[in-house]
Amino acid sequence: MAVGWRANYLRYKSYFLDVVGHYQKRQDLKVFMELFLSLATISIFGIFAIKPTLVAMAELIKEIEGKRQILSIMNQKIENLNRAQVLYEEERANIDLLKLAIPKKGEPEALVRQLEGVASQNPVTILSLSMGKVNILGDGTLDTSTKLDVLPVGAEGLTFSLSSTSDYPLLASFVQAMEGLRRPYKLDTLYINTEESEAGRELILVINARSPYLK
Amino acid sequence: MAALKKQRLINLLPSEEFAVTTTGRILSWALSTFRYIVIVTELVVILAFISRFWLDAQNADLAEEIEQKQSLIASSKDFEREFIEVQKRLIIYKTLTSDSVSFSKIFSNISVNIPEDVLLSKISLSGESLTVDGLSPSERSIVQFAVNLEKNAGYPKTTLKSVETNRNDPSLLEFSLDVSLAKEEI
Repeated sequence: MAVGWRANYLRYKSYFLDVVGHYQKRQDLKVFMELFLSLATISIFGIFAIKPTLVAMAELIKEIEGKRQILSIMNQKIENLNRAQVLYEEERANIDLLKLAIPKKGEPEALVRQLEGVASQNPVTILSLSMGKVNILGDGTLDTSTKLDVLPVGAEGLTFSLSSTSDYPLLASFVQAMEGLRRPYKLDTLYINTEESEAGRELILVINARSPYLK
Repeated sequence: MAALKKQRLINLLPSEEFAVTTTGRILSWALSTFRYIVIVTELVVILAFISRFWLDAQNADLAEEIEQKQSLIASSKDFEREFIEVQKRLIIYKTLTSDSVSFSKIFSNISVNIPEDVLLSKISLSGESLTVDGLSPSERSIVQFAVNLEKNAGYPKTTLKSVETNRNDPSLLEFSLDVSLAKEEI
């Protein structure tokens, strides 16, 4: 095995080292010269002329394709914006109400006004009304994190606590009216308790809730 | 003998001397195959060059159109922000109004189903859990109240948490009911 390998090695070595000599001696090799030259030329032209041209073309076509896609997305967006504009105009009155319902800032004064309105329509005695921390002016942020359920879409919540007293039917109608407030709220806790006082037994209603506003 | 040998020699290769030499063969190849290869390569490159005019024009048109649309979209940016805010507001409003517990309905459900000799001392609601505390002289009335809440008011998960004698008035029983609010109520 080793001897055969050495013999072949010596034989092929002579081919590699004496290409010109073999070429001159053997006629059949001369026939392939054109083929070798053609292959070499095609390779050189392919690598240095055709490949860069085709690469440049492909990049340009890809760029055009990308721009077409961007344009299609932009057209879609413009169409959606136009539709949104029409819808907005149609629903402007409701949107104005919605802006009052979910304001951009806490606007505690608006909420207090609404609560007072409900209390005046259903004559219960408001014992206390307190508001949580809220940024009234400026863009500063407050740490209003609580352990309560998160409001939808990550909205901030203006916490308020209201306690009132009256007889049962009035408290019931007060609660019903509270449900119809223009500003919606997330009810965290609500309880009705009887307490002994000098005037006798009193019904106390306590509502703890959060009214959402945009960040 | 030598002349006879010479006569027998057949040579099929071209008889021109120059054409069979290496230089001649290379020259012949350069004038035929190489020329065709060069022509084909040039054709490809020229075609690419010509099509580049058309593609560049297309590219420039698209870039211009994109710029126009960009400025159009940029001019609607404020409206877009406004509309997104409205959408957010709608989601918040819809979620709160559809998920909120109607306490007035719970009020009426409780007051309609309360037996005559039962007195409620506290009602508290937290999340989906409602606790009703009260007093009654009769154990039977307490059970009746629980059954009423279960069957009539539609709160199937009503449990009697505790029953004990009232400290101030031993004739009365103090009770506490836990009501898990059914999904329809929330």
